[in-house]
Amino acid sequence: MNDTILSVSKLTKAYGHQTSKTYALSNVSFSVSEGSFTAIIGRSGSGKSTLLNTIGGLEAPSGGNVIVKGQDLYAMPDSARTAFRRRNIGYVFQFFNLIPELTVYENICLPSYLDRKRPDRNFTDQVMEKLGLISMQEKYPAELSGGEQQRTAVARALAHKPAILLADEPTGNLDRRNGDELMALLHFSHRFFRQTILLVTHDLEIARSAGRIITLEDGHILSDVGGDDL
Amino acid sequence: MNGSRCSYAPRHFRLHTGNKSVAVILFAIYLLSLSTVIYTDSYEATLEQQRKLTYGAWHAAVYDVDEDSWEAISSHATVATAGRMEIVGYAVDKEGGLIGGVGYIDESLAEIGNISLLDGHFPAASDEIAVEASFLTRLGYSYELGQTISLPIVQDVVDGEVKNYEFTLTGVVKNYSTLWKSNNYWLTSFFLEQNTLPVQQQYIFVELLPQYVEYADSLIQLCPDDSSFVKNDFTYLQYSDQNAPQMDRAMLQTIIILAGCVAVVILINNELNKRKESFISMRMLGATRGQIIKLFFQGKAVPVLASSLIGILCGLGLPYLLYLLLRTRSDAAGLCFALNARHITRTVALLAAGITVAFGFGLIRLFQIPLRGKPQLQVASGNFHRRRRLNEKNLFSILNLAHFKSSILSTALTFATALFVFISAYQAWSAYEEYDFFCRNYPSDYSYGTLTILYPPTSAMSEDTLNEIKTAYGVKTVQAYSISDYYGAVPSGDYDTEYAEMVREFLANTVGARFDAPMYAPVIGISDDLYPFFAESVDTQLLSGDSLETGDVILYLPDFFVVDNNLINVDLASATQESGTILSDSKIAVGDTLTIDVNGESHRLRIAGIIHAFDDDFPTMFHPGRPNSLICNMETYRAIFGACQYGYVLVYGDDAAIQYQTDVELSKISSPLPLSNRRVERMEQRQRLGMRVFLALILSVSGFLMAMLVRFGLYSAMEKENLARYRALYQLGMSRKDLWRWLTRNATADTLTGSTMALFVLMCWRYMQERDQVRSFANYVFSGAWSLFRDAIERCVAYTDWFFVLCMFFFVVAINLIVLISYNRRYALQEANFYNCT
Repeated sequence: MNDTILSVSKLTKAYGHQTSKTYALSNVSFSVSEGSFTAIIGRSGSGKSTLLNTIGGLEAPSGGNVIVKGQDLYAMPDSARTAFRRRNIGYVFQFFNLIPELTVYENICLPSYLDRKRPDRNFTDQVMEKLGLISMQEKYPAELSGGEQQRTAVARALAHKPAILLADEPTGNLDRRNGDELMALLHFSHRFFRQTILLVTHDLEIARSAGRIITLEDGHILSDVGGDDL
Repeated sequence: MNGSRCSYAPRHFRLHTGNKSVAVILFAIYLLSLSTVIYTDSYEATLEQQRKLTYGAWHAAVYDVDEDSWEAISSHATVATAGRMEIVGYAVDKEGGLIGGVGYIDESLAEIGNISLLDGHFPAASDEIAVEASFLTRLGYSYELGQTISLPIVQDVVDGEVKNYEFTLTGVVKNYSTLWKSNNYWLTSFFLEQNTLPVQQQYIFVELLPQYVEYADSLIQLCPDDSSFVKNDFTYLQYSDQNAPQMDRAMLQTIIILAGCVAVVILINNELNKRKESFISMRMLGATRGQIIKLFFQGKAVPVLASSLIGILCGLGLPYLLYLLLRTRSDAAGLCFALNARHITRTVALLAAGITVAFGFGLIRLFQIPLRGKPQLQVASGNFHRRRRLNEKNLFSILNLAHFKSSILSTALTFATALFVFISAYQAWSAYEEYDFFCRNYPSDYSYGTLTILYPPTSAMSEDTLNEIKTAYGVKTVQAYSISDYYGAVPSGDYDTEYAEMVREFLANTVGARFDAPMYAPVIGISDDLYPFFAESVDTQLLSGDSLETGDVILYLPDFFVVDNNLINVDLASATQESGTILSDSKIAVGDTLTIDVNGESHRLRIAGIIHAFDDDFPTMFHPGRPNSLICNMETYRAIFGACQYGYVLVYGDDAAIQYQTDVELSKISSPLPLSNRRVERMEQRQRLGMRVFLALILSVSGFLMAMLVRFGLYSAMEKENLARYRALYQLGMSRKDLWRWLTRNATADTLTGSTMALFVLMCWRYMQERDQVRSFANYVFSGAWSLFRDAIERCVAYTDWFFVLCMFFFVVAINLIVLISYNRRYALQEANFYNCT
């Protein structure tokens, strides 16, 4: 339970040229244990999404390193990093990013197909059942409500059993009821599948439901509160 | 709403860059289209004007016309101007040979014939003369005006009496007489005052009214029987079959109009995509569809009208400025600026129609704007009900369903680009092949005689005349052919009676005489320098050295095809139907002898070689044509006939000489064989080739640029949706390599499909060309549509330059792939990587 699955050390991300550099992240260091639920909060422009993208292998940092399951993400070549994140990192986005020409079931299986693997049908069915998607597995994203689309995105992220699930403002595009339902689903996944979750949000209420809250401000960690302190 | 609408429109114009883009595109379309029309019209007019300066502006001429016919023709309703030329005699040189016509021309002819003076004036008194410049040189006079010209003239060629006259030189006339289409009539080179001497012959040259130019033939019925009617197809290409400029203009305009209209559609589509949300909001706030449409188009009206007007003015003005600039150049003789109101009106109307249709598209889209809805959800509202299930193998093909529309567009663009490149490049290549064919088959600078492939020669050149040609100014080498009539020949060995009977039948059909002897053969004497051409085609031989031995002959025994009941010689260009059995003689062998009887005397000749079929690259000019031809050297020919009777003479000029002077000198040598100036023909072909290559380049490059513009426009219109898809796939773990492979595979498939479709259309075009060609053969036996199709396809396969076609195909595929892959690399992949889920 206490094994470190993610370790971020002195992470820096700068934009712009020498003369006009803007630091989105500055010397950010923390680690995440396997099976934990961590929320990162901060105001708009505080660097939370940049941090999440950097951890997810989508955006290379200017300095520092990201170690996921003992592997330094940015020490790998691009193709190896892509394969690594495909197998070990699950993503849930604010705008769902579902592929409109694929059905719900196909969208959920997509990461496996990208890995040229047959999806684990039993596990996929189990995830769909838990997330209430069984009845709509043959539907297309355009035929779903916003909440159903986001549930599909969560199912897609969980279906290939990632080591860590990154959720970037997953409730940002949902109403309160759907947002609460989604958070309940994430907690359920955290418990039921022992899923490590790193969630980015600007909503303190949502963050409070996590086991740990890291607050970012201007690219720095302002506070890191967890356990009883929370 | 009304008040806000009025104030919104100008601000709208300032704020939306879409208006500026539409304005720029419309300006460019009008400018390019009108410039193209004016350029091609002016180019055509300039070429015609230059031809008028060289070959005369008259449309038709009647040589040797009587006074009544002159009156009838000159007063005919179709005639605008009639010019008169009177021939009073012929100037002779010291040896008594005719060198040029002496006579009178009226002012009308001087004007329509562009007969101009280099110096001085035309004669105004009976003792004055004006002379063509080259004839003064030929007679040994300078161009000094006022000098006395002593001229021996034959007035009546029948009695041949030469009288000497003396005139004062008043003018030097620019050379023209060797350039005009004269049907071997002598034109006036020595100009006298009218009525100085009695008229022997008179000619009429007419310029027709513009509306009757096509009806020049209607004058034929007014011509006397013994006259000669000619249409000036040197100047007016409508009398020949060259219509390339019209076709090029049509192709260029089609590209510009199509590409322009598509570009307008794309720009409007882009703008509508950008403004869709604000229009939806306006609809929600109560704006009617009509109000939104009005708002959208009100903002467009001023830029559209202004840019169209400026485009039209610049399209008309810029070519005129260019014309003014070019006119100052010294080599701009005949340069024309043509404003053809019909062409310009048609172009503007076509453009306006195309642009209206393009805006109509915007109108349709505006009608579809919903009353409410979430923009980002509407994007994904496509209907993808289909198809097989996704599995690990068909991911890309299923994802491609969403790209179907863009794939069709991409394929269509490749098709359009490839088609323009293929057709224009193939035309250029055909022009090159035509030029190359001409150079190979007519290598000499001049030729006397026409190749009467199947018939005995009707006239021949004497040894004396040949010697005269050899010593003429500027002549470097002379090759000559002596061609005899048909004589009976008896081979020493066996011969194929079926083949011999077939040849007899063939000759009976073509020559009009049935010979009794087993073989009838013409004898062809060739100069030694022609020998290598023949030696290449000999199948079996006893030949050695660089020339034929005296007494040796090469026997031409052509292979025949049987087509229904007709026989066609395979070597001739008209032999297209390979539907019968090949008949050839296999019994006459090299080493056999032939005995030929000429005027009761027998001559024994050894067959040193046999030609059954000439090689493909054998020059047509040297082709003996006649079956059983006995090709020998000049000594053998002289031994049989006593002297050579040249049926065909090839003259090579000296590059160091003044070529025009050589033209004049050779044209003045009296010969029963007509002279052809191959050098000028070659030069004209070269100019045509240059023009064709230039146009092909312009067409290909403009086609490519337009297609690229449209392609990038389309891509940018679809970019948002596509990038979202690439980005999502990338974030979900599709490697850049896989993304790259997928896009490249799609690009390759689109390119190959489009290019193959264009290749198919090219082949259809080639098929139609060959079908027309097959139909045009006088002796083509039409035995049904299938047979015509098969023959045309056979020719299409045989006469298409596949190497060139393949090169073009791969070139177009490569260029398209480079463009597509660079696009994918530069935008799609980098953007997909850069965009994040922020």
